[in-house]
Amino acid sequence: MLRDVLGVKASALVALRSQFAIVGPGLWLIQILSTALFQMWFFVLVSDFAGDPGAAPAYVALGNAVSSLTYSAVYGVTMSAGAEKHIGTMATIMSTPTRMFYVFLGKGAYQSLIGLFTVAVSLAFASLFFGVDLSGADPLALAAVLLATCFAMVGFGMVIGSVGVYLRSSMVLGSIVLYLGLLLCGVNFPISYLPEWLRPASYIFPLTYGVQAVRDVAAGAGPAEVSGLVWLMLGLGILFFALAYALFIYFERLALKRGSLDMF
Amino acid sequence: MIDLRAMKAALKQQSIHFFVDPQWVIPSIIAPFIFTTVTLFLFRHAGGDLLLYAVLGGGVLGMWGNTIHSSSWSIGYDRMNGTLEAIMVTPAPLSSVVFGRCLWNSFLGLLNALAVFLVAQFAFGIDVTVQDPVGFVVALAATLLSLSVLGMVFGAFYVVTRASSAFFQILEFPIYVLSGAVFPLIILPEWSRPFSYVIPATWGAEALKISTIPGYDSLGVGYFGALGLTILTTAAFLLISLFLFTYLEGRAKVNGTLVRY
Repeated sequence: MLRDVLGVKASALVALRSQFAIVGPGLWLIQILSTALFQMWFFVLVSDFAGDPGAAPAYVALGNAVSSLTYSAVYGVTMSAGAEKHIGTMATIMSTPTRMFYVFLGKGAYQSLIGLFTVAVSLAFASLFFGVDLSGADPLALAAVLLATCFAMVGFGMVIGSVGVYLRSSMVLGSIVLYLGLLLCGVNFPISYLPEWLRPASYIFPLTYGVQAVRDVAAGAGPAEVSGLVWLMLGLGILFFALAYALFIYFERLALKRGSLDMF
Repeated sequence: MIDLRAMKAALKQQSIHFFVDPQWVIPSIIAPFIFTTVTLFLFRHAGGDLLLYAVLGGGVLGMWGNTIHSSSWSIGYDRMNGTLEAIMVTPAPLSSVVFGRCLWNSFLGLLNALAVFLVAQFAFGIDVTVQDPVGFVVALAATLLSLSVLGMVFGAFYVVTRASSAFFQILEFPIYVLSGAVFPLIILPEWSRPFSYVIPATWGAEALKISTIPGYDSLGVGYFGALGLTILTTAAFLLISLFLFTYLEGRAKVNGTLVRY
């Protein structure tokens, strides 16, 4: 148990140090901020031009602000296994006494911090530039919702990322999941706009509940009113982490059997 | 200038790489494809030309998405695989090799345009009828060329620094916004419009729309004006990229950082 905890901590620290090995902190910050701002601006302009009252610019801006969490919490985590393969360090990780799941859990923990920072900045952008009114939002409820969303999304990212242990790369899958949320999770328009056959897919993504909960908090809901969604996301998160644990063990064995650990 | 033989060989090699492992096109085109599909959902009440507008703009975004990802990474992968030095000691200019790769990558971006077209036609029932097919094909070729040249400019930075991946990630979305591909430039703030006017994709998208949508001419330059400005801005970026390649190649040789990854 202690070994696993130390493994998670060490992995998170390595992730922190390697973050700035190639791209410096200044450039990295510009990258995070510009992506969040321009993605939001793009959809705000589209919604402004479309003039659909069901998806007004403020609605779209708030959805995109929450969705910015996906870059780190889902894509960053999904890419972790693929990145190790990419640089040829996957076999080395497997030879350490810490289970692979805990190594990637540490990376996920670091990505959560980045994700929470990104979403905080994005909410500030949405409020400052795009008319999102957060004045009535309860800070405690907002914090609880964002933490629960982040927890569930990291779990979701770990489930997807586990595939990267076996496959050549998790980049393709990660890229699809990264942007699919913009379409399926009520980020840019209500889920009711989707064709009926596509709607069940929305409920697999934790982002759907996160976006809804943040909209409720922005509209004045307190912790009690959003507790249902928060518990749902925490439950989903636990389910995703358990599934990720089993999948990491399964794909680890499969990769060892097929000799695909160094395949990229 | 551009060595045509080297360019052709690089284009061929890049196409072979694609057919060996076509999955890598997905990360490059998924963002513009989803962006366009979301746009179609938001425009669905408007109908008519507005939907067509989104389809055409989405095609341009797709070409841009693939160009900026693949072209920037083409040198990045050489750096990662340790083949950048080998390429630079061949007699062919590096700019010609990168241009050939960029051309293929922009061409591949048409896959996204095709995907958007199919979604528009079958999921949204949009009738995509081109009013001037010849003008459309010419505008498409000019847009493709302009995006390839823009890809070259960004690819040049990879010669000198491995941190270039951050540059193209920073620039992908601003060009989606500033090119006004899926909405008219008039709704952008006035201060941002000069940036839009220097992007070749802005004029390429405009020429494509004029050749497709009856009576459309939002910037008041007409089809030939838009086409001329596409060519003019493309030529300017070509000169910039050639200068950058000369300068950055020299700097990379002095720094001795070509095999650093």
